[in-house]
Amino acid sequence: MDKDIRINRDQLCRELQTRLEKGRQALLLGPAQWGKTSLARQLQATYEHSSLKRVIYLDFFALRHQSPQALDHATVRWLIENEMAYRQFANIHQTQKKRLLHTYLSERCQPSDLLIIDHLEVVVRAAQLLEWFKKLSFFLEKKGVSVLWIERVADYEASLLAQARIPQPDILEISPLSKEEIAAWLDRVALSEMSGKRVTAADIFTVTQGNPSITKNLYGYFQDPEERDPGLSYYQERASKQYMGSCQRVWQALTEHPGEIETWRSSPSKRLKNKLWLSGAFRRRPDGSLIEASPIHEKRLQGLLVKDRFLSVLANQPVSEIAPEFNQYAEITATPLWRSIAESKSDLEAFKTLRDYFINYFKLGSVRFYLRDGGHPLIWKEILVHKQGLDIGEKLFAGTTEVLHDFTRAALTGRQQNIGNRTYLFPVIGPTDQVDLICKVDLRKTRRFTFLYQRGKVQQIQQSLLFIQPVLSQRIAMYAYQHDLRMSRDLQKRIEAKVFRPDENELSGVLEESKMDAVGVFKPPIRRGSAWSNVSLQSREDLPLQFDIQAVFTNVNEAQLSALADSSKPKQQVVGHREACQIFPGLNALMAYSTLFIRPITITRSNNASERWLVCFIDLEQKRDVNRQSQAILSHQQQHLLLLAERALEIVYREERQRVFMSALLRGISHELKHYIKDIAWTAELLQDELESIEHRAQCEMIEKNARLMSKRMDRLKQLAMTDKGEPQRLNLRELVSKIVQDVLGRKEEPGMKRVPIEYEGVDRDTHIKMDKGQFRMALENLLRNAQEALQSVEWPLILIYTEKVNIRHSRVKLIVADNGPGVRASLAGNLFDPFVTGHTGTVPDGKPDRARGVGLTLVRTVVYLAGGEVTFQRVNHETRFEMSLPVA
Amino acid sequence: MCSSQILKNNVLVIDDDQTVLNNIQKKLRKSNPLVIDLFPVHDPRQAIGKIRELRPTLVLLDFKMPNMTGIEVMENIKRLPERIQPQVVFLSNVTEHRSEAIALGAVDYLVKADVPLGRIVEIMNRCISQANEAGLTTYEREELKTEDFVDILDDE
Repeated sequence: MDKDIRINRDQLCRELQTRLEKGRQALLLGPAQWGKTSLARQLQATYEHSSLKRVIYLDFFALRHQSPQALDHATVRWLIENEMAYRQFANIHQTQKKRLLHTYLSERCQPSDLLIIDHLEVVVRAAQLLEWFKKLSFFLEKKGVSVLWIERVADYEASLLAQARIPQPDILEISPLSKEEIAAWLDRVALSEMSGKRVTAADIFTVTQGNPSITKNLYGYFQDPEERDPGLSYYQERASKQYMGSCQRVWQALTEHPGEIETWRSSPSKRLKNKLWLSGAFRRRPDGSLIEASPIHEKRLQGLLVKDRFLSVLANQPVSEIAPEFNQYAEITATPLWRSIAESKSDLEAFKTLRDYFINYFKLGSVRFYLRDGGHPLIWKEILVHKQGLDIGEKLFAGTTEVLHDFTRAALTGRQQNIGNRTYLFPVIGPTDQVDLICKVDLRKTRRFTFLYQRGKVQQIQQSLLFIQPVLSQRIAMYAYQHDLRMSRDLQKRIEAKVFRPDENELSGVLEESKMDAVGVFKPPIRRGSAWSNVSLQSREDLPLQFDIQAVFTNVNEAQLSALADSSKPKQQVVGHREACQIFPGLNALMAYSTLFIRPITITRSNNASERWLVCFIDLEQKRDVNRQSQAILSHQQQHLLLLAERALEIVYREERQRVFMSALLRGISHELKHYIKDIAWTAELLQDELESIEHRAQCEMIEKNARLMSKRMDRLKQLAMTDKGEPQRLNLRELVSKIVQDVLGRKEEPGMKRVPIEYEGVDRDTHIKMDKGQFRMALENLLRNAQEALQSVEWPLILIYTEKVNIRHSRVKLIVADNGPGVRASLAGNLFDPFVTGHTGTVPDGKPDRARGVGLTLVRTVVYLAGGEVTFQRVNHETRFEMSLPVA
Repeated sequence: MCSSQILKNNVLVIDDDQTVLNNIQKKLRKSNPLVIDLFPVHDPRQAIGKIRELRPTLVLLDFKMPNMTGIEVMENIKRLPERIQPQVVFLSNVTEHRSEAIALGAVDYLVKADVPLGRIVEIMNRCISQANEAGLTTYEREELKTEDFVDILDDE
């Protein structure tokens, strides 16, 4: 067994990695909340893209406490493949769970794999788990899987671990501070809190050594209770639990300075005092005098504090600006970091420092970072030579070339004045080859590096970027609206409230100086890693065409494009992707996967041969392999182009507004009318009780029934109006169909309707579609209902649902609902999907329940179309077939 | 303490539309096995106060009202001490919020224009008799008032 290794977090991670790669088993010890798990996750991330080594992560704490978070994605996928639903797993019995995990591990674990087992102490403490665990560890040893166990420090647990026969692991420890160090901190910090002084963030930062989660916890706790940010309450609670351990020291300090006791008692921080008292931190002696602290608490405090300085570069930095913002994002002005870089011996070393800093701080798997002040032009050369650096650095933030020039000159002449008084933006490329951070460098004035971490900060950048072209910003919001409703509302609000002015003049300054007019739209990333949506404006000299764009469609696939092309309206031309690429070679950069949504309605030959342009929106969502950069090159006609673009987009915007308005109007009317319908129905019902004559009562009944039918019809209309509210998600077709069919069959039969069997065995089990769940249900239910009604007069009715895979390139699946009914009248077949077309005769319901006919198929078509699919009707061999062609997820 | 030993049940109708209560009242008058007293609440902001005062067994709750939505009222009801929480049946003309309401613990979600009064009364009776079987009649609820007071003192 190796002796303790007291090293910092990053080294620890590397050390762990080395040992595990050698096939050793490792045990990571450390107090609660000290980031053992995040360290393990960091380790896991380094193998994320490795095809040789897989990492399996099991969290026993969550497993034992029935939380599905216990399992990593691979495990969950396995469970689902084995028809054990993810949620179910949390609810099954412990024994079954153990068996399943055992099966999983024996089936999945290869000798080269790494298994991370978190919260080992849970297993060790539970007697019945221990037996199982012994077997498991024996098995793992036999198989030769490297295992990283994670444990809290506790002596008696270590002895139990020995019992558990974990085979001689290497023990690595994140150690707490020594007693003296704790006492020193308490004297200075905790006591000052007791006596009513404010504890500053810097104080906390010193004692937490830069561990972000602890800093956050403690900071939240030491905030004045009255001014406390409610969002931090969670951390406060946790921090308070952690903090109990300090009680003994507090008490010692108090007894040594009796004068302080009164101050402490009169301290305004009532809540802290109460917590300390109530926690049992202080106990009354039998003689009634105060009090001693419990040993458990002392131990906890030791666990709370750690010796190594994880972010020593930040230790001198006042963090008052950092800590309050931890919740949302991390923006660090890292002057000392810069200093340490400036003092480093070589460029390489400086570069490494910076990279390690990022990896450490933002928990990134790896970072490629190219940035250096002054000294060495080679670094800058690397920016240009390296593909990603070149693409993003040069094209997106086109200042790079100038920076290179300036810095090279500065390096050659040794005079920094040449650098110029500028601010620069640089992307930092993360492990997924996407921009994870943006580094803003202001070299001359303050020598500040500001790192904009994408997760939270990106929105601010987005605002600023949007402001660069305020004309386009609303239209971009429009684009965003069509892709992501939530974001659109958010943006819309900002635009209306006029709060999207740039707070940071520097940013627009940069863009102005670099003579660049790039507009990039960031979609807020859902997960880590960015998705760059884009607007691309481009022009070319040698093409004498002017596109007068009257409509821009999004989400148009190739089939729809050709459908548009076929339509007979005059002066209409659709430019497919291929043609567009021929006309505009620049589009090739966007790769073949991109979908173009161009529909220039009128194309007129321009008198002025130098004016031609194209506006296109590129949808790269879901196309992960595609190079996600956008290109924004505006020629000398840019102002003119922007005006044109504005006009075109204005139309789209207006149309969209109108559609939204109509939809809202329809919803409003529906609600209003239902109010009166309710009154009619209820009054008719009450009248029936009053009236004597059977005839009159029947008439009243008729009124009531009709009113209810009206209400139903309003509902259907409203559904139609609300089709824009869907949110596409990945759905298993078979599961969904089976559920809907069972619901339909399980429903109470309506009078006069007979039940029709529905067969859905032909639906493929492995197909997933991308569609809103509710809308799919709406579509399928409508088709089934139509079929059921059509089959009422058939002797052996049957509805068949089955799938056909079509056109793998376009990744579509065809879901067919077929019935053996009499079919649709020939006169109707052409406009079957238009509203208020119905195959039923008579509009007044004759006692039979009306289904608000005539809107159903329109609804089906609308929702399927919105999901990017199509629906068609066919009559083949006495079979009525509705075919929905749906996008595969 | 209890003022009356007759088994009576208070039902609160939280709706800005008075006709709802009137219609239900008329239907109840026909013949109903249970004694049910209906109380109107037109302003949803007063709902919680009324519930504390009247201790209803059941609340009929509209969704779309001025100042507050039914869901907000429901959330407030759920913050009351559990023993005085009435059962809630949504009675609204808005169809979309069904699952939200059920998730919050509503017994049922009825759409006014689609549900006959007879059915509403049926559901009311069912809810109330369930509550009565569980021993929570209105007069027992009134007894609870003093206990709550003791609780409040304990908290202090």
